[in-house]
Amino acid sequence: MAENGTHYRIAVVGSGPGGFSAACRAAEMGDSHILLEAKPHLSNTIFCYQKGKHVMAEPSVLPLRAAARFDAGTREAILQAWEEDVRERGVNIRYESEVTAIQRDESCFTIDCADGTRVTADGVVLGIGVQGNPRKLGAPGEDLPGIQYTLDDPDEYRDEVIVVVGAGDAAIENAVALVKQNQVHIVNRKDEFSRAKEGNNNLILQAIDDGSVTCHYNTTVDSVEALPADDPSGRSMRLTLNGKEDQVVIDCDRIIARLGAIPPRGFVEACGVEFPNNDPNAVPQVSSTYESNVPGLYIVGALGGYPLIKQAMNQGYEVVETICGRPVRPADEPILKERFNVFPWVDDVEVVLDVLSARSPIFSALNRLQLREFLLESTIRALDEDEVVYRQGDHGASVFVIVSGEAQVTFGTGDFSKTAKIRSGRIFGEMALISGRPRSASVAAGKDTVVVEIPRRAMLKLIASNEKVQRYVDRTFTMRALERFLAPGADESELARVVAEAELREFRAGDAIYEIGDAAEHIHLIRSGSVMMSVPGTKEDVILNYVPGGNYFGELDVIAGTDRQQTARAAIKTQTISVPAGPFLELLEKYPAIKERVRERFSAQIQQRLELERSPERGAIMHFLLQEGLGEATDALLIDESLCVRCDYCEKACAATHGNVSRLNREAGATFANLHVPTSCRHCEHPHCMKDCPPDAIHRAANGEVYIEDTCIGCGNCERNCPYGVIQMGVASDAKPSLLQWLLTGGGPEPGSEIKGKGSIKKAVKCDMCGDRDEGPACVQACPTGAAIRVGPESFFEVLSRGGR
Amino acid sequence: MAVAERLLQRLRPDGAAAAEREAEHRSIFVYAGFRYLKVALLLCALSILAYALHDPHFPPSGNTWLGYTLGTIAALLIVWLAWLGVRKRNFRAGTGRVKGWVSAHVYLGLSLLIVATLHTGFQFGLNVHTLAYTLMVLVILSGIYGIIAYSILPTRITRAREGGEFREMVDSIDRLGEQALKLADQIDSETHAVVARSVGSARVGGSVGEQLRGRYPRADSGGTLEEFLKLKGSEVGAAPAGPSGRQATIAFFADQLFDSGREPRGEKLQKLLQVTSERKALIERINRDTTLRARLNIWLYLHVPLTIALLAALVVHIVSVFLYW
Repeated sequence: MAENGTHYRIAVVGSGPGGFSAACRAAEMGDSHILLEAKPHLSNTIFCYQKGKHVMAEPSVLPLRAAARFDAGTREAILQAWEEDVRERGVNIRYESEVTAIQRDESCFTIDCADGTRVTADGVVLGIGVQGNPRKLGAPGEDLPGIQYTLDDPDEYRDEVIVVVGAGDAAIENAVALVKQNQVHIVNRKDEFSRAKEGNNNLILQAIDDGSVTCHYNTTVDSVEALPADDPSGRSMRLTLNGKEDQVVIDCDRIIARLGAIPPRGFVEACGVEFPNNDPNAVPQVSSTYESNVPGLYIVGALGGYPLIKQAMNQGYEVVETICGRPVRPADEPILKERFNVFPWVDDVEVVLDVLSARSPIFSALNRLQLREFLLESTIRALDEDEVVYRQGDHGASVFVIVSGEAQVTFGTGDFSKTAKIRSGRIFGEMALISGRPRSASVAAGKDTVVVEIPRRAMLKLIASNEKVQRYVDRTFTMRALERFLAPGADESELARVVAEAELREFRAGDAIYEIGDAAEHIHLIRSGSVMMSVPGTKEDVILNYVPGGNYFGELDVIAGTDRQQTARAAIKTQTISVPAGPFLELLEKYPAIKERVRERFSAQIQQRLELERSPERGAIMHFLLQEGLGEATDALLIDESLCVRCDYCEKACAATHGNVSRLNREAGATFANLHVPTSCRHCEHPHCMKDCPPDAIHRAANGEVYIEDTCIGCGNCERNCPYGVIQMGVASDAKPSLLQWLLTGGGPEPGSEIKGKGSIKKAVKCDMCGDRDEGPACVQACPTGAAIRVGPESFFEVLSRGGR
Repeated sequence: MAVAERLLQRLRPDGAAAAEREAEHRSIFVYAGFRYLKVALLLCALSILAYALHDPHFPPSGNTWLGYTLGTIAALLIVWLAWLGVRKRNFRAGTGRVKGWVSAHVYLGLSLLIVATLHTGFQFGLNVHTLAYTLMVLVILSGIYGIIAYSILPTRITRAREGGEFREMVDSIDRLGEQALKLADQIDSETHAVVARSVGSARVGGSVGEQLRGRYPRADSGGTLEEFLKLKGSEVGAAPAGPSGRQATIAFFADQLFDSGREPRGEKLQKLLQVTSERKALIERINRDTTLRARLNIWLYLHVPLTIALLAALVVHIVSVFLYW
């Protein structure tokens, strides 16, 4: 046990993979160190995984370099191995030591713990992850032992009086799970459970309704006091609540506080570490040796933007070597060397990195560490002259940086003879990344062209963490979008003038971008998201038009010189670039060809509007589809229920072609008129499932399909992040049920029935649009009546305009 | 400005792609511009023409060259039509849309009525040949029922569901039953007992006959709940007047509520009424759904076994014809 006030060479805060690995290396080398862990066990994040969860060892290309063991396996096996490592290496670990402050003066760091102890150290390794600490009750008595912040097994408790504090999903789920054997109260600060998912909202209201849960609305916690063991109530705590009118006292055995978590950012900033911007996903900037802007303070693991166990362990190792003056080449060196094969004449990785940095504003905005990381995730490609990089209409969201040579751009899939050029050092492909829509132009390589292809996730991470890159990408996007959609052929200098006045605006789903009667002062270009145009109807708004991302709207009123004739509302979270009317009208005057096209569009839109006004029910269906999230879909399965004979062959076909696990649920999902939206992937423009995939296993193929690779570690993040519930965790099997056997003898399973695979590793499965089938989606192919159709946003109106008969 | 030209083409809806998408969203009856209807009509027309022009020495029968031709066509058609059962389950290897197969199945199946009838030369008797023919007609008749059911019922099912999901509705019935019991328990033990009996005896669904007829005798307690409430009403001197049944129950409750004012028991009673009637409505909705789906699918239970029988009879028919040739 370390003495209070002891000085160490290295203090490691947090015993997750990064911190634990750092401490193991320090122990192995005999460096003076201490590992401070807030919990009574190692690595709380992994500790809190469900029992028996299989933990993967991604990325598989990266070698592990650590003084500790790590291999794919169950949670238990990994934690056990790590505990042994800690013992065998003689790591100086102190449990239940929550660090509350880290301060640096000239000589060293001072680290204060919640229990009042204090240690000093020359260097600090911060590896506290991103989970944060649960928010406490914030009232006297909040540290009593009967107060807990998690609930592992509700069946553990029986005949207790339990108070759940909070109104979110976690609180509701806990409260409802406990009612069977206990007397449950729930304390809600507000007068409704609006924050919770609809299903949970119904659950709790029903439980309150039938009296199984007592709800205290508009109530906050005043105080908690411990009761003596012989208290006549027989309970251990007395909870006092402040109601709207008076105080309520509950004698209880247990209080479960589900008030969310405090993100660790506040604490990290208090240590002096700076974040590049206010984006909640932003990570602190660190040097190539993981050192933050506070000299001597190193950041490893998820906190620094590296969520994978192996990465974090390597970092812990490297940081200790750096602090103790034993410089190492990064573990990724051999991989980078291989990446740089396209430059056979240079042998030194550092030299190539220098050259790349000098070539592009994106690379120069990165520090060495970010650049390495970035290139590790990217591919460097030497292209043949005229080699097509992508075609207009392809899906894909990777961004390309031209390192040498040039790229030729053309609209349409046609020839590249008359094309615009993109010079070396610049980027292309940013339009699809930002809008989430298919590629808006085709690109081919020029002579001696080398490009770096950066995958979507790496690019988004960079944009979120680096302001310079963000500005550069945004400006490029706006410029090109204007040229592409509003003013093709316009002069670059003239566009630059419009871009200077253009403004980026953000709207939440349902926000009005403008309303009827507003002055028409802007033209809007949709950067991401989609917009619906409507006029007020007798009961609700009648939707007249739907504008998907990458298109523009609002120009009709500007040209006609009238006030707004319709209301424009964001269908989903939407960003627009608003261009002032003045410069736009000037452009029109100068380029009669552009004016002519706008005029044609004008009349086409008026026609569509008239058509829709004639059949308002189509507007209602549109409304429904948008409500069901089709506003962000690129390819969704719809079922025309007037044709559907409920045979479920779509589901069976899906199961039969996908390891006997169906990825769609025909019956579930909403229905309006005869249109049914089954629970099946919509292949969103900006897929929610991709948001937080630790092994980066979710990708989008050129045909738009969002698919999950085999590197899936089964963490379930995508399942939780999908707002449409279309991802399931399943075990695929290779079984191929025999049709004739089933048909003739009745033996064996029916083709298309769900067959669970052996083995326990559940992986995420979702619709892959049958990307590898020549016959297209199996669900549509197998539908005997033509009820199942797949649609994208462009064809909504066409589908709606005609029934199935 | 060529670039702008091409750009504009992109802004207009793509004609060819739109047409293709519209073609996707068509029913089997109009599939591919009535392609199989045309084929079937042509087949019928040719058969009739040949039959009319054919002048055999003997009365027309399966024994002439035309008879053999029509018979062969009909037999091959039957085998191919039956193969749909295999094709539609062949999810992995099959090519083309099943929809196309079904469209052809419908029209060519109907044309069989003409082709096979002409094949018989209108010679019927009590023999295996006529048995095969009869089975074929029965298969086709059940198929015609199927076509009608498939055209009419899907829309009705959607309407009857009122947006509910089957599983969800069944769960709600359970939940409402539990809730009713809890409420009844809070009123008095007698009410609890009656509600418990009512909840326990109500059943969803019924036998095949009941499903098809759409009458479900076990759907509610058979009036015991209402009777009890009448009894309870007379206890407090507020016996419901007028027509008996559901209306009476509601009237009784209204009276009792009026009398009891804001008494908590009154509130509970109101809630109980609400819950039990909601539950009853759900049971009725599920039963209606069950009926419609039974009517949608019942024909397959004839169509498929009859097809198997037909195939067997067909084999016997062909073998015997060749044996006695």
